[in-house]
Amino acid sequence: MVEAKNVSIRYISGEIQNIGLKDWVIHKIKGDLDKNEYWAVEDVSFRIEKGDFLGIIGTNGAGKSTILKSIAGILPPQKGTIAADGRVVALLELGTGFDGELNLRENIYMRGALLGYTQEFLDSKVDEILEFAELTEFQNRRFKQLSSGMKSRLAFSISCLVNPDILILDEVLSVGDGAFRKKSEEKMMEIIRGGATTIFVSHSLAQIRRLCNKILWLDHGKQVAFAQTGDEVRELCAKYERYLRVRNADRNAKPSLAPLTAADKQHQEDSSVAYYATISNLFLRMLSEPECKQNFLRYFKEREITHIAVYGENVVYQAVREWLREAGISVDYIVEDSNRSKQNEIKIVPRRSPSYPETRMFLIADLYNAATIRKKLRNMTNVPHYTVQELMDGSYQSS
Amino acid sequence: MGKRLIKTLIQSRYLFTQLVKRDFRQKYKKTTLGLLWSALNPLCEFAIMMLIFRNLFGRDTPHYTIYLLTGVLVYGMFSFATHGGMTAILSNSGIITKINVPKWFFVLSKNVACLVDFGITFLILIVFMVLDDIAFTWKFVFLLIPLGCLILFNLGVSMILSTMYVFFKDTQYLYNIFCRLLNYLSAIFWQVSILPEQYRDLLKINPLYDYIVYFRSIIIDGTIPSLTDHLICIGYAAVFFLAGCITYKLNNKKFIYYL
Repeated sequence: MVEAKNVSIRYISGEIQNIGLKDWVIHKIKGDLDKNEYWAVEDVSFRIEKGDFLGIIGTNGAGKSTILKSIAGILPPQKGTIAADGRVVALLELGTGFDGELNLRENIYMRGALLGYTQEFLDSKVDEILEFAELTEFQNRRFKQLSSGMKSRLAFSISCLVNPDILILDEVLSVGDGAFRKKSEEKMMEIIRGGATTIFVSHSLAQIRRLCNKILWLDHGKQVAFAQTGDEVRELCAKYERYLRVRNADRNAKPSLAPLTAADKQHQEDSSVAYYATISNLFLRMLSEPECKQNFLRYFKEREITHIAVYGENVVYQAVREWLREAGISVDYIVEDSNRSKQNEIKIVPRRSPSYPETRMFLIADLYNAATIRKKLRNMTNVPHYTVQELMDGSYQSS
Repeated sequence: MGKRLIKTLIQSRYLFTQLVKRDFRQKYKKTTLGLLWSALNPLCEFAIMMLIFRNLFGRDTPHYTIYLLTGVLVYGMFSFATHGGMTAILSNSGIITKINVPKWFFVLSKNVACLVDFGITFLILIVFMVLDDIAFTWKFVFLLIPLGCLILFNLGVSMILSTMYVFFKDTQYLYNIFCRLLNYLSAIFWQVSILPEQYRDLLKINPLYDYIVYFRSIIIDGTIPSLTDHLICIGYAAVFFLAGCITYKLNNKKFIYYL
């Protein structure tokens, strides 16, 4: 659980550290010391529970990183309170806070120790961390000899693999190349399923949509909105996107929470990313709301569907698959490749050909390529296919 | 409060040992002689002083070698610990601004790392004591008192300095000059007897002088200092240690804005 109550954080500038001792004494005596202070975060309140994935959105200078630092306990708020129960691991600015002269292994122990772990625990984790970061062969190199991508990977791997109760990530999920990014998102999902609470800042709205089930929107340090349910999250993302569009035209535009107009919705549907990316929110709902699960199961039962195929990125389909398997439905997932750099080359490969004819339904869980997959499927088979979104809101009936 | 600090320290003992190891490694990284410098450094300083001052002050000072070496030992420990302690918080700003760790850990670890140097110098002192026919007695146990006081005193001064250094970078230059003065006022290589009688007691204001005198009276004279001397030594340690804790406590939440 993390709870922030009316949190305000102030920065001071233009004091001693900028002007030196002599000027400071002179100004102090004269009594005209020019202290600039400004509130980086003002009156922000939110509460998230175990297992939540909170995304913080806002333009530059909104106070996102500041509030993360505050939750991490580095920057105590001047007003209000922040309560966090459990071990907080914060990854703020990748690659900093390491010792360039120490080798990777030593740095893992050092960082682990700084995060409050014991030697025994780190002994059991160090190989796994190196392996996840794909740096096992570099373990005896000095940290400063690594490329920046490698540094980021190491930092990310340490933070994720030490089983934190509360994980704070500042703009870091875009670490490494495509393959590593995918792997890190999967790891994130695993951590959430393990019951950790995650707080996350990203400028990638798609990523926020994909991962977060709660959203806090900050603007110039002030709280614009805090969305707590799937619908609210989707709506708020759309509103934020609208604000970004408006702001592109007019730099002084203010965030607005006015209801979405038909035109806004059109915008939203125009971008397939926006439309399909809410799937993982649905997912978190599926995993967390039993009635949601029941709806799915009833649907499958009514139609005697026992075999379905799930399409989607690793993160998504693995979770769906697991969940469906629990429900006793066999999953013959077929689409494997959704290499985003080659969006048009999606391979649809029957994984288990014998059961292929039994497949009664396709569930499309891919975020980006749903339209392409749908097209390919239409050419291949006449088995009905739906996106998770459609299953959720009932539009499958008309489909 | 003290209980909580000790609890934190016990919980984080692994971190603490890591920090001490790192501080120690950092000190001699990329040197060919490495740890040997911990011995060579005071030894060279001692050799130079011996060369210059033996003829000046050495003639009428019994066991001048030991006299000089105890001074170098105590002052060296103080100087290393406080200079290291002063920069401890600022030089770890990369960590402090990213990870929530008690900041005083860095000051403490620097001070503890200096104990290793002290130990090595002390071994050298023992070698010279043997060479100089100093009698080893049970009274040497009393050396733990000034050593303990010195550790607390160093910690207190380190905490005050490291706090100041975060806010004023000028601190390091001012402190360097101050240390030079303190060095001369600690009677490391000269005898108090060269001062007029009425000024001699003024030196006692300098805590380092008191600690050096304590060491010398046990090692060279084989006498345990008076109760007053004990009170002065312990008093200074307590006052500076408390002052350091209070200074740190009052200011540590502000550090983050200046790092």
